[in-house]
Amino acid sequence: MSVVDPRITAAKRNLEKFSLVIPVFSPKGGVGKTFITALMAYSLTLDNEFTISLLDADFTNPSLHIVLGLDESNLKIEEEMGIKPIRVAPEIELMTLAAFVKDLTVPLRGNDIVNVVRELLAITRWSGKIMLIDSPPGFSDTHLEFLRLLIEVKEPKVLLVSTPTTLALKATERITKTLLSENIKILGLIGNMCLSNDDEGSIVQKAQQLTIPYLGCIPYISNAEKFYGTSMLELVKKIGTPLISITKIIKEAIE
Amino acid sequence: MHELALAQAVVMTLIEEASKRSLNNINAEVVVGELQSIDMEIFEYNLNELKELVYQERKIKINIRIVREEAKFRCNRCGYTWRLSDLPITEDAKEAIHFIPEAAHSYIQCPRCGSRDFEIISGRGVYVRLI
Ligand SMILES: Nc1ncnc2c1ncn2[C@@H]1O[C@H](COP(=O)(O)OP(=O)(O)O)[C@@H](O)[C@H]1O
Ligand SMILES: [Mg+2]
Ligand SMILES: [Zn+2]
Repeated sequence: MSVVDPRITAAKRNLEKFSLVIPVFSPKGGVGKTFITALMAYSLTLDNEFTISLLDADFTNPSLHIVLGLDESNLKIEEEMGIKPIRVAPEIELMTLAAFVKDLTVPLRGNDIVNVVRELLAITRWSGKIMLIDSPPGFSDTHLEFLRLLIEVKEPKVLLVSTPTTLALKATERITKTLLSENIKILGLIGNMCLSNDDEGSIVQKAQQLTIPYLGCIPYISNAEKFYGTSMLELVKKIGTPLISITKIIKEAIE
Repeated sequence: MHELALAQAVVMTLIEEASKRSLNNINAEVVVGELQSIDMEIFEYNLNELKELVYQERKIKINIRIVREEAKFRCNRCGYTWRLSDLPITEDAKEAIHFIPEAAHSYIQCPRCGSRDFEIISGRGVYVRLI
């Protein structure tokens, strides 16, 4: 007698519908994974060509909805053949545990995390073409479960984010080596909070050293919080070139 | 609703298992945990419809027995075990847990020591036991 998990079949069927699935990783916290995920969502929808599905996989501390300007107390889950993601903008949708637990914390052990990943992927009725997964710092249960499910259906293309600091660059080096040794595709490295040419130089150099594509550097933005919400669109336009080139590379990664 | 999506997932999983083993007859127990508070009547109805469809289209005969499983929790700090019905629980919490059972860690605390670090030892969700 053996036990099978019907959520795996459902999760795979849901993932198959995407043209591209991008996990956003960085083992170091605070480098801007969540902020960049939000920027990318707006940037990718600028020319109305793609619809974006966002998944906040930072389960114990969801924050993507905050950067997107949503208040968790208003997040309402609708049930319809599963659950419907929350509409953020006409072409952006979001699924987050914050919709279920509001401002409470969700203390989860490894097995619980595996369950949440499978459950969310199995029951969410996505409508987007590109999925961006905002992840917690580190490289453990959440990351491993996503990779395990994705590898079988929709080859993940990982986006790495790093600030130009010694500690963040070291973290980037570690995760890159691991991913490459496992033949997991890396879309490239984005530098964030760059203040000078030297800062950009250290990101470029790290990418070269690790033989992964350098995608561009997002400058340090004073008062970044001021742009949370729909003003992210304004910020995307203000940042301009680096985001445009990153967006172009992402679009080229769609088969 | 949730029930049809769940029934589809179960039937698709069974078709996969049947074709993996080149069987045209497959027996399974579908275990439905208490935390996944689905409407059993609708679920069973959906399963029966899908089973029939699979038989007509693929000549695979699926036999399913549905089993309900009570939710039980065990505290990782003090070892206490309890059932869902032992605690009062708000409607909002119930709804959240119904979608994502792990939300229990936000809404439920060990009745003895107050910890949120507990295992859901049974009755979490839906799984399929092949017989
Ligand atoms: N380019 C930037 N310029 C200025 N502040 C930024 C920038 N990117 C992110 N931030 C801010 O830095 C903090 C950490 O970013 P966050 O996206 O939460 O990091 P992570 O998700 O990697 O932990 C947030 O307050 C965010 O608003
Ligand atoms: Mg984050
Ligand atoms: Zn206890």
